[in-house]
Amino acid sequence: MKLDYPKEWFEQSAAIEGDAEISAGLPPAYRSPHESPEELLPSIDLGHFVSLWRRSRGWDQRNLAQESRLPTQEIARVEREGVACDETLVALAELSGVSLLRLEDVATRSLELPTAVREASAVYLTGGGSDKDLSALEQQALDNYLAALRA
Amino acid sequence: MNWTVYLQESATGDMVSADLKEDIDSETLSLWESSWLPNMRILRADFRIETPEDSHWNWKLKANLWKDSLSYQAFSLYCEEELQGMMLTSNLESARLTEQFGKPIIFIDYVVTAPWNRPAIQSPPKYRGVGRVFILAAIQLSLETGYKGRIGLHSLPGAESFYQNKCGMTRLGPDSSQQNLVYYEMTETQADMFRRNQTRT
Repeated sequence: MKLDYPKEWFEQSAAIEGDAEISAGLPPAYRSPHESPEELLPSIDLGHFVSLWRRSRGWDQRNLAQESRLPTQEIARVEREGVACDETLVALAELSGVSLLRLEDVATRSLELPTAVREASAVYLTGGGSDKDLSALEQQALDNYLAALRA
Repeated sequence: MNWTVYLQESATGDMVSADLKEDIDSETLSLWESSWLPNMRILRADFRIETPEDSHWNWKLKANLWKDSLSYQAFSLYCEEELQGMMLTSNLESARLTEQFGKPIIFIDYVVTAPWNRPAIQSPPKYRGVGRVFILAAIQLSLETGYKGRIGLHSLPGAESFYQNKCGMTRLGPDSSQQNLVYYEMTETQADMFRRNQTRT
């Protein structure tokens, strides 16, 4: 795209705009399955889930790659970016015992979780290094989270 | 691609250069999270100030959902190393105005300015002109896509006068499919007037 306008254009334009509100988009009352104000609070995403579930098994990324028959780079990418293609989701669902549908919910953050589980999931976000063993608190939180996923 | 544009610093009236990026990347989202989000959280909790109508928008999620789609184009605006605004557009919608009904448009899914550029939050706002920079970018994208400047959007209630009076768009009324947000559309002629700064004030 080419946007080549002189400074004077923007000066006139700013004068026209003045102190106007400009926001446009979905309605303020709108709640899509993917978005709610609460999601702005700490909450587990697919990357965190995969990383912590892997750690709970005492695996590093290579172990998980072998077990899921996915490339190690793909595992690293999922944990880093929190997004996965369908093929990866299917493999992770089979391995973790979480239904594909629920894992897709995690991937799109449309999962409705009880507040207590959501609060517990925040523990994950303050967890240690990517390959450290889970603390007792983290393990308890993971158990709660998995129970909610499998409910 | 980056383009140099200008914003007006309200305190001095000076025009300062800004960068319009054709992207919302991880750096942009980090800035949103570190500089806008804390403001929005405070504003949502402050009963003395009306909650910003877009305070629930999670841009990190929006960008991640659409970043790989060829139908979407994101923009971010930087000035003095601060994030001043973001816009997400798509080319999946068609025009509703009778004179251009059914023709493709660039649809503005979301456009927003930084909390400190909003008169309801900070008076005077830090910079003026963010809104029309984004509308200009959407028009330019429409022109280069072959849509002749046609654009459309659903305005949040507080911004309706901006789109009608400051951008010269046509008001088509409340859209029941979008919780009665008012839909606005710009024709080829209106886009041409906008580009010549001849929009009525």
